[in-house]
Amino acid sequence: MDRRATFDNLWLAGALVAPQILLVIVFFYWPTMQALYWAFSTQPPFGGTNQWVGWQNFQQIFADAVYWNSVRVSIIFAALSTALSIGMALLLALMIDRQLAGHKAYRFVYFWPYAIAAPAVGLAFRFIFAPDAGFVSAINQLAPNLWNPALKGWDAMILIVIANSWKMMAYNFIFFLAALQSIPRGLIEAAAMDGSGVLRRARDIQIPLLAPTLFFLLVINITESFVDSFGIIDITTGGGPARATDLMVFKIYSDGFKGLDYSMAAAQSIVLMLLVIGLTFVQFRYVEKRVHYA
Amino acid sequence: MEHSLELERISKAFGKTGVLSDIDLAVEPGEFLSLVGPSGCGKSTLLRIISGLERQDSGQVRIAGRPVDVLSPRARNIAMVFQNYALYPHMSAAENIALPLMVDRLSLLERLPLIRHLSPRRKRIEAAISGEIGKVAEALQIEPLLARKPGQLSGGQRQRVALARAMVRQPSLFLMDEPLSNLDAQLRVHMRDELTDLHRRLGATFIYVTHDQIEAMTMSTRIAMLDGGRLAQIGSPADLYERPASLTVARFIGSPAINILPARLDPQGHVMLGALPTGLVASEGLAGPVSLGLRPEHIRLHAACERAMPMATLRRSEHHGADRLLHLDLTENRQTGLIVRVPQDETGQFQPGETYGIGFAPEKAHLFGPSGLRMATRTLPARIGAAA
Repeated sequence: MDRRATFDNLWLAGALVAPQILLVIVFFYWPTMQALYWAFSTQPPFGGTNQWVGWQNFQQIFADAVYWNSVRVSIIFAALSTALSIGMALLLALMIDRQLAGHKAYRFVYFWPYAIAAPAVGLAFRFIFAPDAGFVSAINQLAPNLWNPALKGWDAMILIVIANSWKMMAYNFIFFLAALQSIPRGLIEAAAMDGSGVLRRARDIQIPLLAPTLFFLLVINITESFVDSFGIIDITTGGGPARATDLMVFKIYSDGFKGLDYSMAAAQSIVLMLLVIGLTFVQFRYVEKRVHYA
Repeated sequence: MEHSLELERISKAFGKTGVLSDIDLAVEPGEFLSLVGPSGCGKSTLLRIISGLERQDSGQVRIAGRPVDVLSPRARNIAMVFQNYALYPHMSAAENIALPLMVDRLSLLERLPLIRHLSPRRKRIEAAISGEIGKVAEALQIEPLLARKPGQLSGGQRQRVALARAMVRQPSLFLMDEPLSNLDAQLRVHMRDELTDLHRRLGATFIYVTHDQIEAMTMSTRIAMLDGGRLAQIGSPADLYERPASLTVARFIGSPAINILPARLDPQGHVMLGALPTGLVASEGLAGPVSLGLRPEHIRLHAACERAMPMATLRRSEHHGADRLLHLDLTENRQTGLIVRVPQDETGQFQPGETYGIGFAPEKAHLFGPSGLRMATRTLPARIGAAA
């Protein structure tokens, strides 16, 4: 039996979907098309006529060492923050799932960071990690300038990785916890009867059964770290020092809105979009094959 | 000889709800003990306390003479078969069976990818393990299934893999939590047979939880019946069937269920059904209401002509292969139904709608007092009234 509702009145049907279609067109397809057009032309910053330049914008960014630097730091950032946020979330979720004392309060608290806007996270971490007055400045007592994200590229990278993972960890944690709690209690008890301790149960039973969740979070985290890290970087490092945290998404913003080079920014955002699409495709094509949906 | 398992005054409550109270139990090595009872009677909780998955509030568990209360499940050297089998879905049958041995014999490091190749003894141990899996698989006839995942196995096959996983460690004590309840009726009968056979071959102690009295009756050497968190009776299947200690046990054991007729003790202790004496005398007890239990096969129907017998009308007659079950309504007390088991070749004479006299041998009847406990009886030498 066909349970779908069908409309005989096409005008009514059209009117009902129109707002949604309009939203998508105005806020997604139109800007995308605009960016695509700009990427293949030169867009004058103060108005005027565009000039079609074909692939020139792309040739220019690919020939630029600064651009390749931003690709490199983006990949480093994605790898580090994904590993850290997934690893920490898994650890915390495994602990909470064991129902240790106070687990209910922790479960609640661990999700909070995700509810905080990225700039606020950035601000908090900027204060905590400030080399002169922040909480972490204590380690500078050991040796001067041991920690200084304003001067040292790697310190700045570590800072944004920690800030971003802290936020994403909350998101990953909820998914892991939900997945862990959906593992039948009987399996864990069977493993306990079979002689597995806590660590082995995690390794033999829980983590393999979390594989689908792990895969999903991998895709989400990598994508997020490529496209959604702007807020934190803008507040904490501003892409510096010496472009050490000049991620692709931040470079698009600074080239476009600070340098007013719309065409170059548009070309970069097209590249970033293709990169994310490509990464997601690769993950689904090759990583997913190794995931068991038992 | 040392007991295989001893329970001493085990009590357990979840919050304010008492689940078990003062359970005492001793199991001999090699016994097949069934824990039976209606759902919610605490039998599964008792099994989980024995396994160590749950901790008792008070009392002591001893396995092979050794108190195990502080030991984790893995240190107790017992194996458990779960109701839903609890096979690890991401592992093949062989890996499932191997896990207890792997965990036992290889360290965590020796099981990590790459690093494990550094261990010199790993290969030797893994070869030994796969040899043992082969033996267990052969004993349970699951060799062709070893490479499959649980999702590719039928219910009966999963059951066998779960059994193999329990057997492979060669524990002295097997715990089984309703292992057959997820199988279809035919397979259940077959697996009953196999489990009994397995028990005989292994010579290990089995503790078997079930709510199915037929499983308990057919497989066990002894049955412990729990009722409301207390041990209602423990004994051989014949004991429970022939001398039930209480109304609850009498009602639970036996299919179709025992007939319970409201009766009365007169001041001399004679058991009266309505105004009719039954030939049964209570050895003690006060005059007042009692219950008379009669197994369906112990009732004989008589053509309606005889007097001084309780009468009943045949309502329905059911075909059960060799036997026929006759459902009757007592004439005196229409609320009380009566089931009588009659061999197939004797049923021709009974017609629905007709009224028959109820007869039984008093020594086959069970008498239960107002508290539900069994009462001692004797029969009158000169049979009067309802005696057959």
